[in-house]
Amino acid sequence: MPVIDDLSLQVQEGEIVGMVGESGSGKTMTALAVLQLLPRGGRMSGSIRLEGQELIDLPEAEMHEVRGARVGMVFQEPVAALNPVFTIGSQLLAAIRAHRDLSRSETRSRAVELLRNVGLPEPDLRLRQYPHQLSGGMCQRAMIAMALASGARLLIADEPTTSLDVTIQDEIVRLIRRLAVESGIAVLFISHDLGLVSRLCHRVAVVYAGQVVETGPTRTLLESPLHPYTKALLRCVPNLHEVGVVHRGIPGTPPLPGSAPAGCRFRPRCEFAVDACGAPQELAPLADDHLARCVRAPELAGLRREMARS
Amino acid sequence: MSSPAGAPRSLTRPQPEPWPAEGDGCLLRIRGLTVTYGLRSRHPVRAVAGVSLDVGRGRTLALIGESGSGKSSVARAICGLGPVESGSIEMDGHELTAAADRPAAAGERGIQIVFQDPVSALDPRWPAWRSVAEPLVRDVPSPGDRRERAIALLERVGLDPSFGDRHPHQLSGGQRQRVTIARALAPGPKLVILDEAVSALDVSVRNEILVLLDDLKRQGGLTYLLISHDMGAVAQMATEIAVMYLGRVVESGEARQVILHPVHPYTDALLASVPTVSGDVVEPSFRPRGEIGDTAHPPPGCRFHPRCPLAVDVCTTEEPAMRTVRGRLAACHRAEETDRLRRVGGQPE
Repeated sequence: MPVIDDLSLQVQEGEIVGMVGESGSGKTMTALAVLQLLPRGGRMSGSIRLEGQELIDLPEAEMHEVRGARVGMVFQEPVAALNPVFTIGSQLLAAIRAHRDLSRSETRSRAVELLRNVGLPEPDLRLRQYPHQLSGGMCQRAMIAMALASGARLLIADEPTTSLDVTIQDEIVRLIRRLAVESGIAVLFISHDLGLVSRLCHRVAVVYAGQVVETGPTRTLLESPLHPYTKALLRCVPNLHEVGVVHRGIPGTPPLPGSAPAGCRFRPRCEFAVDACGAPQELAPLADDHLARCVRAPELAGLRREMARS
Repeated sequence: MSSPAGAPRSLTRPQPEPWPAEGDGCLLRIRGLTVTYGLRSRHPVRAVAGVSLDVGRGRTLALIGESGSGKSSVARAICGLGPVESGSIEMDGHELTAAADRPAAAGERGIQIVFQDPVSALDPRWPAWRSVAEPLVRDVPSPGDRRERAIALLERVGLDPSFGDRHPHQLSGGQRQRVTIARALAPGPKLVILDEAVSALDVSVRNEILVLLDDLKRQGGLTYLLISHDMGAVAQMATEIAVMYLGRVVESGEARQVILHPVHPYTDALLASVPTVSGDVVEPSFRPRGEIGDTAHPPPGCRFHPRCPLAVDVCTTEEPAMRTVRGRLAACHRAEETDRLRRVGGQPE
């Protein structure tokens, strides 16, 4: 059964692109597909290009070089992603040596430099410590250092702050932004939190049931969302100015892979659904760089403009 | 309330009267609650240090703070699932800390808890109705009657009766959390403690559960103690808020006041970290430095001072007393100034 279908994304150098969607929407599968780490039995078609090079059908040996050396990835549970029986130092040194031939002292100074770059205080001490001696936020910084150890130009961050406290989440987000701005690293930031994504990303792609339903520059997407699903997601984002109001969000649940309805996949949950939504939906541009997969998007956008005028 | 030998040298000074309970009188009354883990070990950790709280009947008190602030320890102490070193927990006028069987006493007085992870909270071998009916075993002897009651409870939380025969693995995350809520409602509780009950859920499911909790409360008779780091859920649900940092309450008051006009720099930092989509990236007026300190070794003076951009000399030596500032309680030496500093938008000297 198709888990992701006809999904297109682009990340430029120094750009942070957010991919937002609920569990089961295919966000993580997209990340794994880029690295060709799909679960057993998973197959894909299409095109994945990194700095112009086609990755689909690349031999495994070359793909191994791509992972780590050119694409770094960080996951949701930093503490679980680190090996508890090795020090941060031995794991980081191994990551550096995996793709580069450096002397012992060069490797070590590179490790210290990497940890300093991700804002870990006392890098020399951290190298000697085990993961359990670090907080969740520090572990995630160490993971980011490891992901970038071999000079990756693309960082895929899959819900990197979900298990962290809000204050630490904020720091990790600022770290990722700094890395993109200062080092020109391209970032694909995967999250279910539209608020977080809007704080960090230049562009956003909203995915639903394995398809991109809307994509555009962050500001445009927030100010004039076109797809009803994006609008519903926006209603779920905390609004600290309205205290004591429980918002009625989206009724129902997303379809399971393989059981999505024909036509618009959001149709059963959509308050604007009409007969035309039963036909397959195209991701169509409504403005420069702002696309939506909704047959009623132009009409709904027009209605809103009218309402704003009156 | 003398500390036993080996307990951490205390900076504990029981906090004065908490923010008073609104609504129809005080349902849960906590005074000077101190929770210490590993009391007999060489390194005891004081997770909660002299906390006082009032929860009004029919209200929702949100207890917020980062991990390590002690909020979950307070929840566990109330349910009798965690230790209490000293202090008093009164439910409906009945002292719970003195009971021989504290979990049973909490249940009898009408306290139930819903945890974060609905997967581990349900027995994978049992159909949903049986999990829901479990708390009724003693009071409803007939299995047929229990099943009937369980099905009615499932309907009350918005699940079709057919869900009663499903096992946890046949349910989605949101449905599982509905089942655990139905189970918490089974004994007819007065107070439901929601310990990060919506934190692990997807946005739309989370919203669905918030709506359910709100509906259940509107139907009457329920009071919530909401333990959460999810400020969005807190803003929607809470009527009162208490902010905890390293085992102490640092600010408490009416929810609207605390969220819209925080006084304590920690509350401000916590709220400013919440990603919203209200427009531009908001740079918080105060940003905390580093991470939450070590509960086992709280710093002297104000516990927040090592991270506080506003800290002055007195903050490093003297623990600030809880006092009324601008219509709420706050423990900060500079509480009177923070509002002005925020309006000016500048960092202080």
